[in-house]
Formats: sequence, structure tokens, C-alpha cells
Amino acid sequence: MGLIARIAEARGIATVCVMNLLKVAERIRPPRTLLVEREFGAVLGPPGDTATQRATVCAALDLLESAERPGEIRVLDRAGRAS
Amino acid sequence: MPHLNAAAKAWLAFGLGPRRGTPPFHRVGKPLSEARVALVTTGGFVPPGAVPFRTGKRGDPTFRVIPHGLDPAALSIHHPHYDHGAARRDVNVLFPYPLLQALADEGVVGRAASHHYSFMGYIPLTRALEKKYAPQVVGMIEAEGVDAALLVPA
Repeated sequence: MGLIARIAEARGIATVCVMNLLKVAERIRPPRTLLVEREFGAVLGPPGDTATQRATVCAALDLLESAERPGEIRVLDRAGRAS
Repeated sequence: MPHLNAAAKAWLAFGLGPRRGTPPFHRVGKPLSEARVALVTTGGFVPPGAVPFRTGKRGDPTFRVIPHGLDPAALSIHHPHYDHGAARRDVNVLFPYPLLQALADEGVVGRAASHHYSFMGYIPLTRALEKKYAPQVVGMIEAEGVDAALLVPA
């Protein structure tokens, strides 16, 4: 996925990746990464948990807009705070 | 989560080399409230009538185009390496086009793209992805005038 993001970004499409594997993000180095500690199959939040899904997507969109440096990785903690 | 460490180890074992140098970086160029946003997932979603992904050990670097607004119940999932249960109950867990529409309705983003894109994330050999299929998707995103893309893994 990070590979796709790099190709899109190089052609002028701004991207943000949600990822749950830090080592993979560090290897591939997408332009922007929101790191979440969640299972495969529901990385945005559990089914039916609209609040968590929305908070995660909005954190990703915020990173999309506010990232200052290429390759930035922001961590979303369990309380929904990004750092 | 130890199993995620194991997953990372398995993923890295594919041998994909590290990407060095400064990653490409392009700003959105307009407020998100005016931007058109597309989704790319690696969840293996397939719309009605499309060919399923190949789920064998060689993986599948191709993609499927998903019309925005398609009833999620119409999607099938072809991906051998995650539990599909959550995504079948609620597509927003990893392919959040209904949620993106809600955010567009509220003005958080300008509008959702007319089409989104699904890969099947098990792609041990990435050459065809990098040289052919990912550039094809980017071309389709460009053609629609999309400003930004949110990428979500399985």
C-alpha cells in the first residue's frame, strides 16, 4: 500500500496511509502514515463503532493536511489521540 | 501485539527492499473542505460482475474499481490473509466510503470521488504492481480530478 502511495504522490496526488505495522512503514516510507494499533480486518475500528472509525479517518485527514515533512509517521493511541 | 510483530516479520520476509531517500511529497493544495478524496484499500473487495482476485501463493497485483455509493452488501471479498467477518458486517472498518460520504455531507471534505480502488494486499512480487497496476490506478484518479487519496490496509 505504501508503494501505491509513493507512486501517487510522485504524480501529484496527496496521500495518507493508515497502517498497523511500524516496521513496514519504516521500510517502505510512505509520504504520510497514521499508525494504529489495531487488528488486520478492522484497522479503522470495530464494526459498528462509528465514533472510532470516524476519529481514525479524521486523524488521517488531519495528517494529510498538516504534515510538514515527507515520510511523517503519526501514532494514534487507543484514546484516539494522534502524536 | 505480538502477532502484529509476527505479521511484520512475515511481510518483510518477502524481501522488498527499503525505500531510501526522501519520500515523494505533494501537498493537497487546497482546503480539505474543497478537496475531492478517493479511497484505496488492500482489502480484496470485488464488485458484482468483476473477476475475483487470485488468492494463491503467487498473490495478485491487479485491482478492482468500486463505484462510490455501491451497496456494500454487493461487494465480495477475496483475500486469504485476514478475517473478513468485521468487513462483511461493516465496510467502514477498512473501506470507508459510506463514512467518506458522511464527511462530505458535513463539509469536512469537499466530495468523495466517483470511484474507489481495491487491491488484494497479498502481493509477494511487486514489480507488476509498481510498473503497471498502481500507475493505472493513479492515472484513473488523476483523470477524475481527485486531489487526495486515503489508503487503508486489510
